[in-house]
Amino acid sequence: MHIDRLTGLGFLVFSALLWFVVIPAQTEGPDEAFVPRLSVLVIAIPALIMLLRAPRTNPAPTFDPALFLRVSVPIILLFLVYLVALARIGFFLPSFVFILCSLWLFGERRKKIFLLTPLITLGGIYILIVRLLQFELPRGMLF
Amino acid sequence: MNKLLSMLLAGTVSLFCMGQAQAAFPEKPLNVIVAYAPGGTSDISVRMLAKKLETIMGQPLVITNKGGGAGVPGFEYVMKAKPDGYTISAPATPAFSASIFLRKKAYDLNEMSFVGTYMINDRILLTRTDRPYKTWEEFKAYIKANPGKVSIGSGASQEALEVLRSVAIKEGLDVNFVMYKSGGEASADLIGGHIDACELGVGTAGYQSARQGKLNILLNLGTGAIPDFPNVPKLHADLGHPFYTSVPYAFILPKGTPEDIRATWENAIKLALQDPELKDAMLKAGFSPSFMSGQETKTFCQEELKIIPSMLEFNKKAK
Amino acid sequence: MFESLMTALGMVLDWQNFFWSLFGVTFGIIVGAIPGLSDTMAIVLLLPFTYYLGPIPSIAMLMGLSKGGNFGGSIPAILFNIPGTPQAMITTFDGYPLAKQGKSGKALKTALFASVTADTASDLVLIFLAAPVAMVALRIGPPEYSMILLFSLVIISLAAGGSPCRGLISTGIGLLLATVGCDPEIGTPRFNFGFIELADGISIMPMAIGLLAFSEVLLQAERWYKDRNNKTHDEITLSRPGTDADRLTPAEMKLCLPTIARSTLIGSFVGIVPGIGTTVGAYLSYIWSRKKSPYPEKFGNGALEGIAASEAGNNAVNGPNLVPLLTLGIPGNLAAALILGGFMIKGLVPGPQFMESNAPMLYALFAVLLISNLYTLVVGGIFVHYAKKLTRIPKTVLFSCVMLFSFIGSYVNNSSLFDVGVMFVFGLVGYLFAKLRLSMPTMIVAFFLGSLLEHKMRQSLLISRGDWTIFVDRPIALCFLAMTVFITLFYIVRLTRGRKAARP
Repeated sequence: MHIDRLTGLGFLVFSALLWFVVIPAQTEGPDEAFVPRLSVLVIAIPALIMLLRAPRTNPAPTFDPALFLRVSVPIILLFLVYLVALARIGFFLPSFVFILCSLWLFGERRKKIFLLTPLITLGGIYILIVRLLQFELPRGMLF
Repeated sequence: MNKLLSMLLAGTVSLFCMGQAQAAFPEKPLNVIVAYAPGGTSDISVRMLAKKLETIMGQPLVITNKGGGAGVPGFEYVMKAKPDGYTISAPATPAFSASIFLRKKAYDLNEMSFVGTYMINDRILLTRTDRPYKTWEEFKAYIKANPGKVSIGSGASQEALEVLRSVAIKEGLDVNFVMYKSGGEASADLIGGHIDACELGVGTAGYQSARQGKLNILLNLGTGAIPDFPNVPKLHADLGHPFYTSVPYAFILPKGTPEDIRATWENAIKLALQDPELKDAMLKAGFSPSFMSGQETKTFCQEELKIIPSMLEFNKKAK
Repeated sequence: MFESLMTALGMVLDWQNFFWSLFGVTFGIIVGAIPGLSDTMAIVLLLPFTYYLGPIPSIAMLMGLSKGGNFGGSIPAILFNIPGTPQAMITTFDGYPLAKQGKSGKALKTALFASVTADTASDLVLIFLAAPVAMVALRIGPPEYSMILLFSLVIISLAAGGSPCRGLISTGIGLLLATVGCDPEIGTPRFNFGFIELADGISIMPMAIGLLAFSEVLLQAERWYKDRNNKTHDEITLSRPGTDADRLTPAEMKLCLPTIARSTLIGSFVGIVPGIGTTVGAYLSYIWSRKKSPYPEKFGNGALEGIAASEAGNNAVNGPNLVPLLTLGIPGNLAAALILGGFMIKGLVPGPQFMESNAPMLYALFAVLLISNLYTLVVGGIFVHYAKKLTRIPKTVLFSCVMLFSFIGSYVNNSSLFDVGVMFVFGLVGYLFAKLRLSMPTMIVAFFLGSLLEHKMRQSLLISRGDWTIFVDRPIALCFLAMTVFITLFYIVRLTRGRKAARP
């Protein structure tokens, strides 16, 4: 199936979901629902056109599942873990670990960079934002 | 014997420490959480007061803006904080009505510890000076003469809009109500003549124009006195309308805060407001400083929270 | 007049003004240049400190921050394809291609030149035309407002480039996201899925950071990983100092001037209408310049005018944005709101009589604006010189740090972890957008315009009691409506003709 058809189909399903399920559940009356329904139409009509008439030429694929699994998924998961840890432990320790892990995931192997990056960024943030501007970053058990 | 002695000793030491801890509050910086974006009336008024409170409390006040969600998340953050007096919410009360309008359940005012009010933010109804009406009575007559042609804006207060709606229903006025996202936007449209009257808070841009004689104040939707305009009729007190809106800007601590810590805060606010310099600065900015104790604030809010559901009921029935 | 000018001079010639303005500009450029951090964030962070300064120095600092931040955002936009601030989003279109051609110095200098020129011009608009501009601004009520918004929205969604269907879908998604929060007129919750944090709508900063910085890290990391494995490096080569690729020649300056003039005009107009914002100003200017250009195909592949249009368009918004603040006491944007707060806390009340009663202060303020522009030129020039070295930062470090700063930038505004979550979700949305080849700038602009559009249209209809002729009765509104219809028809005709011509 042509990628354009697939995109069109996806957005058509998305629009239908909004129109029949989300909008009735999340609005309280026709006045509130008017503009959302209008926006759904702005999505649904071009989606339908895309589904029906796809160009003959196939563009170069943009999505590479192998790359996505190898690069993006680990980073996304790492960031999620980082957020959860940060809410519980506080800003600095999880950030330190996060920088080290993300550097590793991005393929960095030089020791000097592992040492300097967290020191410079976190040190800078501590001096500037916490000390000088007295802004409070999330606090937790350790800080 | 030895055991008894050591126990006694430990007891005295701990008592001593406790006594000192209580006497020494506050012994570290105090966190004031403003549940609104910086730059608005709530933020500025708290920051004005904070400077004075710092000298009274002897500790710096760290003000953090936790905006968004109509002030509810910022308020709830404080209510969940450790009740040690170091995290306090100000001005907290607007969250009460916001949570009702956002379909959350109403707050139980016994679940928090009221410290005290430092100013009352009333809503007022303004018009341009070149209009044929100069008073509330004339405005009513004008609306009756031109049914459906008059538009009244609201500077982003759902509650005030509902109060005005109830007035229109009760008096049989046929008006269009227009909601704005901010007081500034509403005042621009009022000055530009796109709407005929507009409801705004005391201390906003529109109010400042009124002080300079560029706009007329028709009505006070609240209960407090407006500093520069003592003669403006009050909706509830003077005109006998059953509903009103009046928001006391108050400090509130989480439930379970020790009474003496609460009293320290209350006293500090009271003392700060007695300072003529602060009072002057607040009046200059268009705010109406007035002190209410924690208990008074609580009763005041309870009264007001009772009004909202009956007012909404009243408005709904007329529809 | 003369007397107040002399008093004003006394007020301006204070070391504090010069120092804080310099500080503001420098700090603004730095935070602007860090993807994830923005000038708005810097203003929020520094606001408490302005309360301890005098009124003029504090305004000097705040204005310096926003001017510096506006320029600073274009540095990473050009060097890394990651806009430092949302308004620099359009600068990436031509800035990054130029950098890839080894003309990073030229691109950065064009951005600086356009920024400062347009900023100064728009400040002059503020200084000399404040009163007439305020009169125009007052004429714009809800019906006129709606039609101006509709016009901008239609232009931007049609000009998205690529496939028209994808442009429309992007627009629709932006509009849909704009309805999250509360109904603007009735006030009931809408699409908040039980999160009270969404009651005021999706916060713009976290959303923009997620879409522009976070998602870009994912995309670039994937590309970088692939290139490294294939041993084909896509590194940008730096322009060597002294060569033509490193400077902006007088001929090129002259080439850019008409673009800058046009963009200043658009930016200033956008600035008069409060709430539309710098990003829209930049995008509209870009579209118009592309339309006017003799070689529109160069746009998007490193046209100097593209950078100039974007940078001039977003900087020109700033001056007129202050007009309603100074003439009516009504803030036109966040920076103006914060400045208003700075005034109020000092017992100064901007408004109709401010100009009369505080004339010296007003003149001093104008002088400070121009000083900040001068600083932006000088400090910006120094930064441009050294900024190119930023590309030596290893990609791995860049990616890690941008993610960390995305967290801080989205957290600071409301000190809320919920906002960080919003940033994260939009980071994924941005990734998806790129993979589906949808237009992210269109979506962002539709989001900016959408909530205002719904709000203003429904306000108009409330005033007119549901009578749609209110949009035709008013001359300004009618004019914009007619232009919108004309452009849409013109576009459809061209599209169908293009199709027919393509088919033999």
